[in-house]
Amino acid sequence: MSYCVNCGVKLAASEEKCPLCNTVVINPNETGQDKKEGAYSPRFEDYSVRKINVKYLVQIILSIIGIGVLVQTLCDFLISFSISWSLYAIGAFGLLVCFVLPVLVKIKSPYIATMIDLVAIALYIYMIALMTDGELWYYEFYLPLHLLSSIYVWCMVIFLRKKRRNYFRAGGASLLFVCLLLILVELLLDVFIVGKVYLIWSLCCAPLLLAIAVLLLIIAARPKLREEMSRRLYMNY
Amino acid sequence: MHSKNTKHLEWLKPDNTANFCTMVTTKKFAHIFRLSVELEEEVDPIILDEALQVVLKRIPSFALKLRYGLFWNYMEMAKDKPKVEEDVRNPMVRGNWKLNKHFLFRVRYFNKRISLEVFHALADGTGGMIFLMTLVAEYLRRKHGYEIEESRWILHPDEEPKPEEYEDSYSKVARKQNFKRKSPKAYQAKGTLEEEGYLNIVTGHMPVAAVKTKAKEYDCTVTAFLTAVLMDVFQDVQEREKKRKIRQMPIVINVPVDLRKFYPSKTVSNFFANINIGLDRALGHYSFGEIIEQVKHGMALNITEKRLNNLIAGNIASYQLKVYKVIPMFIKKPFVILGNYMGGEIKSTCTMSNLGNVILPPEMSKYIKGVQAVAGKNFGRVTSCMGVSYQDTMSVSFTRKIKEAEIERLFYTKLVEMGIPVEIESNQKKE
Repeated sequence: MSYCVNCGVKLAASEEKCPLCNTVVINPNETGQDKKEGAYSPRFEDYSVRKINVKYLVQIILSIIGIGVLVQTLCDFLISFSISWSLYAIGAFGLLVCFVLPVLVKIKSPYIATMIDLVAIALYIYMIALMTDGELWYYEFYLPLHLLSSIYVWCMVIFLRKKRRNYFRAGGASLLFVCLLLILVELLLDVFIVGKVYLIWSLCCAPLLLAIAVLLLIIAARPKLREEMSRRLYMNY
Repeated sequence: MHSKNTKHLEWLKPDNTANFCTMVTTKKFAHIFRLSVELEEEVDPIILDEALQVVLKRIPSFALKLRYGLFWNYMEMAKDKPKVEEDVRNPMVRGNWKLNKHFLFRVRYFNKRISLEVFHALADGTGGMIFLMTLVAEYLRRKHGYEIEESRWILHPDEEPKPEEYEDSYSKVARKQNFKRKSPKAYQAKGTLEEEGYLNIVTGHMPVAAVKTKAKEYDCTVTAFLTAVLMDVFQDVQEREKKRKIRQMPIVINVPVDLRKFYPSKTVSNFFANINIGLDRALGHYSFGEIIEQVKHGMALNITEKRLNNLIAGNIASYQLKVYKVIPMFIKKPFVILGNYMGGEIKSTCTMSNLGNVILPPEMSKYIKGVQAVAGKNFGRVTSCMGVSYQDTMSVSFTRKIKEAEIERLFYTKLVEMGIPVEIESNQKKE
């Protein structure tokens, strides 16, 4: 039987350290054999609510959707003796498979998983463009936007992979991206529809977003300012 | 699971406390407490299981399962039987009753210990202890041929259950609520939350005589003395706070009072009322003697039949509102949870529940080494305290959902400094 040198309480023989102050029990007169099992079983109960096998769930959902796609493709073929409108559904199903691919096949790298998703989206939109004779809008309007969005998504993946995340920096960067995206959308629309560049509405929104983005980036760069803000914000610091 | 007197107990309307407990229960949180008996020998799980089936026929209110209605929850008599389980190191965390076949209690065993984990909707500490002791008596009868003697804590398993044992005593004694007191937000300790699925339990065993002598020295009861020590601990912790506003918040200890002492009730279900004993910290630092006086007078003022009845009446009145009855469960439940948090949880610092002295017949006592009571976790408050005495030992347990053990450390070291020897045991994780 030992006493905690720090708290002065007597400790049960099963206690390896004082449960009150974590001081390790060192009693030269006691051998390891004296240690008793204690009042509580060593067994831990996993009380958690039933865990879902995500892979199996995804397989079930994909099978149900797959059957639906198959039936409607068959209908399409029986009505028009060709595969026409059902291609949209087949493409969407392929896109869905690409999205859930990391669950079905073990893809450890989030960069590869993201790349597969981005390429799949671009291909699906290209398929729609081909089916609607819209290759022009695809190359001139959609593809630049897709490339810019892809860069942003990649940056966000890099951010989420970081152990110490600076949400102010991420917020600031996101607003900058939205700012650029707005300008690019108007620019591309002008070039695609009118043929000339008249930046109006995007320039109305962009300065506001830019101001907030700069503010967030300043806060992100100054840890002392962030600390002061959280101290004032949280009542229980 | 039916007997002559319980044929009509197919289902039961929850009493006031049961109503409240079932309403604020979520998948991750339930009001559970744990009572344990340490025998002189290893527990035989087969005999324990047989004893449990017998005792469930004697105390059928424990064989009720929780069912969820559209407007109300209700209790339904179980058709299947619960099994005894091996004990775990992280008890009282499985609050999802679906995983317990909807039974609202568990009987667990480990080495020499038999433990009962009860959902507060079924019974209070006294009711739970009656069930556990009746179970242990039946176990000992089967194992050693012990002749069961009925007492305050034991019901004879051979007798038929009586309706007054599972009656709703609250509605029977409650009069009209005459006044309602508004209480301010109380001080609450903070800390780093423990990982999910684990509650820290620390139990301190101390000689009853030493505690009684100390309480006598301050001319107060054992409960008042322990409450005062706990208040003193919270005062020390509060004084370390940086903000003046937090340092001046009142310290309020919630003390459950067994109403069976005031009314001739034989119920094994819930029958208690919570009183709040406060310390106005805006007035400055209190010496231990001053805290004792505050607690003593606070208890004397609040633990009277009239005050307690007013409390029960108030609790019942809120559930008897007609508007409340017609609102579907899924709508009113979030509001009740919020109401409980805003109106109850944040208005007290900690709970100090003392079950009192468990006196058993001498023939039974020779098989029993110790008795323990552990309070469950609270929705908001980080720690709660529960005590029970048996023979010459008093066990005071703390349940904590944060990593830091500062409150218990100060509590037990204060007792040691006062000359009360404390022996500690816990469920701390082995590395």
